[in-house]
Amino acid sequence: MGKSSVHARPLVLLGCLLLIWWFVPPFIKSFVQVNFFELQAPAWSAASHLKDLQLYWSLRNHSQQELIEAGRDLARLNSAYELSRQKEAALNKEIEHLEKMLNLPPLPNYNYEVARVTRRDINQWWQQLVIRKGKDHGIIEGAPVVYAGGVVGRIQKVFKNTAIVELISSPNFRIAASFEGDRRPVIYQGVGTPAFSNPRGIIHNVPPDYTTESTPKRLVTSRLGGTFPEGLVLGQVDELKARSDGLFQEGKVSLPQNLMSLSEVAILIPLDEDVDTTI
Amino acid sequence: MNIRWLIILCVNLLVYFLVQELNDALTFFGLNIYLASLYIVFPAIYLAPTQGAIVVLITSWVVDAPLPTPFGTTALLSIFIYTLILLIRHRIRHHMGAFILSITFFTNLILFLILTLIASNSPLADFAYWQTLGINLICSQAVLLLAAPWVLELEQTLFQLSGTPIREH
Repeated sequence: MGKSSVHARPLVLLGCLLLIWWFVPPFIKSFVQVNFFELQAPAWSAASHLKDLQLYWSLRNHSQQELIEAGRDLARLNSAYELSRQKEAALNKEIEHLEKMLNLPPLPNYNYEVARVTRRDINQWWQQLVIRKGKDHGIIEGAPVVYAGGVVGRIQKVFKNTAIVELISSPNFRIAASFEGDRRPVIYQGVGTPAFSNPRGIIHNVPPDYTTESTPKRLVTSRLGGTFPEGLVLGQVDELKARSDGLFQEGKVSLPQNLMSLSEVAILIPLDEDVDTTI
Repeated sequence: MNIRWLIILCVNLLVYFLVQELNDALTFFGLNIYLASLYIVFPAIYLAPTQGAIVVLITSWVVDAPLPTPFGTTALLSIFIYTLILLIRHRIRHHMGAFILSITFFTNLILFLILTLIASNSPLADFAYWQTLGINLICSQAVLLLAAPWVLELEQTLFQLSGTPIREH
């Protein structure tokens, strides 16, 4: 065999692989992807369970005095939440009554599914989390994901026992939003997470009369966004500046820093089948 | 039975798992370490071409599966770089250590830049984006310089323990 033919072998190998990949039907690629993900999912879940165990043993080291104080604080919080729950029940009845009177379509209802975060893939190219619940727990693609501080993102892909969440800081994440106390819609889009800084987003199409001069304004989800319920916190807008066309303003949105260190999130699964969760 | 490819595949998967755990811990600082060349250079140098291609493909598919890029992007990129290394392998094999390390270093740099071109969705005029990209690239290359000799040493130790020769003859 000649020397040149030996050197050409890697190129032939590359050509063959490219040709094979080119002609492979998409469903086979999808099948391979799902299987390779499912193959590694138990390893990530096991690592996540180990972290939970580590946390459990570190919590076991707390003194009884600390536990008594924590229990007392929780009892106070529970009382406050119980009052809020009663108020919410009364408000829901009022809303139902108004909906009937005005013949309005009902607001979407959601079921909360709490899931642990097993893995974070956050870099300059993509921003996503892997959670420990999937199809078996009723998770669907496009479902909103939230935590105590507001919106986390939405479900991008669902596997058997895991799901991938696209974070709100991802440049591919775009939804309709509004300022707290102002129902006019603006467009929110993620721009990523700068090193040693909070994750960020930007807003477009802000009406020219809107100002954030006195205090930073909270940006919340709008019902026009489709998937998300109204009023969930997205972030804070510190500054707005007029666009060159003068018609609208745009500004930067600071997202909470704890978005990067979440260990538990809640997925909102619509109870009504007609709620649109398409991305 | 030749288990050289299995050893390198297992080391690749171990490195991938460790890198993911490291990145998971670094997310709070907005940092990310990218060490993809570790999955390509050693199979290209120590394995027969077909075995090396299998190891690179399997590792790339594992890396690719959870990513939002079209499935196969990392695999095609890796196989392309793998082929380039195979073309110059006859020169590399006579030099060890520092030369392999420098190839790993430059391969990682090329992979990082190509992936940035393919996968970047951020506004290019954003200074913070370029700053983050630069910091992550510097951190990745620095960690690579520390991790590559360890991975190389680990693979060689595993070859010795399994009684297989370090180089494919």
